[in-house]
Amino acid sequence: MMVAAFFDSIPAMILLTGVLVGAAAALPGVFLVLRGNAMLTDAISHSIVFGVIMVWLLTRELSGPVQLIGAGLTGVLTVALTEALTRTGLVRTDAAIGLVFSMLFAAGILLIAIFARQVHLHADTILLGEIGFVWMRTTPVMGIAVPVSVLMLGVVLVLNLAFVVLFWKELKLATFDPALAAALGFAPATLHYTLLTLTSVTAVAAFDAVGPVLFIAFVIVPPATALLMTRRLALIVPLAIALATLASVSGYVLADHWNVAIGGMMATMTGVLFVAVLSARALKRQLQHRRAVPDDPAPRP
Amino acid sequence: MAAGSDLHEPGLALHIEDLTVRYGATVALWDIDLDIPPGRLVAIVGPNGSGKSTLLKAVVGLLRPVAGHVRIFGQPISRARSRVAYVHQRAEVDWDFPATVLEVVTMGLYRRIGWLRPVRKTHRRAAMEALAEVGMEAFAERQIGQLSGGQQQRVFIARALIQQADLVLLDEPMAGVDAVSEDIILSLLRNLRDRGKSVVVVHHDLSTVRRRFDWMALLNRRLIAQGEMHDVYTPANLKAAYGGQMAVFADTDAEETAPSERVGGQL
Ligand SMILES: Nc1ncnc2c1ncn2[C@@H]1O[C@H](COP(=O)(O)OP(=O)(O)O)[C@@H](O)[C@H]1O
Ligand SMILES: [Mg+2]
Repeated sequence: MMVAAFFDSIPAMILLTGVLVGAAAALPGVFLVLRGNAMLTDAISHSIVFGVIMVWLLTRELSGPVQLIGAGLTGVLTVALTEALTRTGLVRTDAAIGLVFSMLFAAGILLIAIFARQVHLHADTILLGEIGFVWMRTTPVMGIAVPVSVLMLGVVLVLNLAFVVLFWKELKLATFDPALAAALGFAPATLHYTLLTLTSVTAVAAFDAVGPVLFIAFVIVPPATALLMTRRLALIVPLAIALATLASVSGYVLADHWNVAIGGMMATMTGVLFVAVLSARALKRQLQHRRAVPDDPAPRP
Repeated sequence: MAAGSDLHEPGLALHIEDLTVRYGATVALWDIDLDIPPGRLVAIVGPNGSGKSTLLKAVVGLLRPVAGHVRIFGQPISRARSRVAYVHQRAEVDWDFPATVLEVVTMGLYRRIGWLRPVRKTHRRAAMEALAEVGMEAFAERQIGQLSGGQQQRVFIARALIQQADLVLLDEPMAGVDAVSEDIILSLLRNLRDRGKSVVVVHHDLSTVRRRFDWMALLNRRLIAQGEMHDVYTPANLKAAYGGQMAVFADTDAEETAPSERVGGQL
């Protein structure tokens, strides 16, 4: 059985996990980066620590579907707290979101500190994850042992893809011009919260493989790199996914070669690609400048 | 509160009663009563920070008032969304956003297209026609970041035109735009009025307001005066609205005024 052999192969599973994390994270990532509040990802990926700990306290499950539900609920809790804070009129929505997420992170870390001694919870594994071990926990799907991480990330990728494709025009409008979106009755705040909740769910699905710290890199860096390469929104999304895939594959190969942490190397490669594209652009601009070809008749503001 | 389908002041394009809007502790609008008749070209005028933008945002439901109500052709905004087009200040969006001129104009049709339905060729054709109306059809495939201020404003106006609204609200559409764009915008607005639409414009330039608009509301957190231009444009009213800033302006009555003379002109 070809398929069973594929899911049995450790390198294949590690690579697949990396590719799935990259693709699933890039989808909401594009819109978060475009909104200019990419750093919200930082807050989100930290706040889920709270959700993960709460679910663990209740069920003793550190991953799996129940954790995804926990992430969804944490998202809802965040929305409720943020709305309450915004309604006081003391802070703007974005600031409120940042505050709430940071509070939840602090609460999560506090809970780890309190309960970690009882169990094998290490702040390091929680924050960084270990993609090298994802193949160890499997669950049978149609008779084939599939890693839990791969299964969860697959589900989340489909979810994110469906959301972005179905609400493509609504997301575009709400990201570019939230005021017009609201005036036209398109509930931009609800869309934004849904995007944040999906990001939380993705972070949890990625939790075993890449912890919140590395997850941030996957959400922000490939979309930001794609944005440097094209000005077509419809191209930015597939380009970001391609860049994330390239980072995962090259990161895996290099980690294997140098014998370093795989997840960290994958995240590092997203950064390397970003710097490479940035340098290429700067170089191209300089060359154009030197030739001094006045080929841009476009009036500039 | 008027409930259900009861119409309240349906004869007015815009009816605002007892409207008070706050940002936290800042009271931006205090107890505004404003009745704008249909089919007029209306200027909302007042010094910087007098609540003009806040007024438009409250009308389209972007801000929730602490008191009062708004009716558009007799209906609350939730039932009148399809009849209203709102053009906010240019600076409120990120012009580096990756989108073409045509894509942005098409956004004006999103409500008619509806949730989840994709943009089709007919919608793009309608957007092209709107672009032609503002003299920007040659820019359809341009990135929005490559436009001048006046061109950006015309794109926004095309996006409002395409909504075929009965009430069009614009926030400082002529601030920081070139003379050509200014003329085009003004004639587009007049054309809308002549077709029976109601046009409400936040205007920043006291020296041109009298010749360009036929109805005016003067605002400074409270409503100072409202009505026909020649009734409202009086030294007493202007002084009440502008107070100490009076020295800055003079009604030159000459259409072209140097930008430096403009009151509250901001980019
Ligand atoms: N988002 C906001 N948060 C807090 N205060 C605001 C906000 N927007 C406007 N204001 C304040 O409300 C008042 C009215 O603002 P605005 O409606 O923008 O005035 P105008 O458009 O006439 O210049 C000003 O004092 C302004 O500082
Ligand atoms: Mg304003």
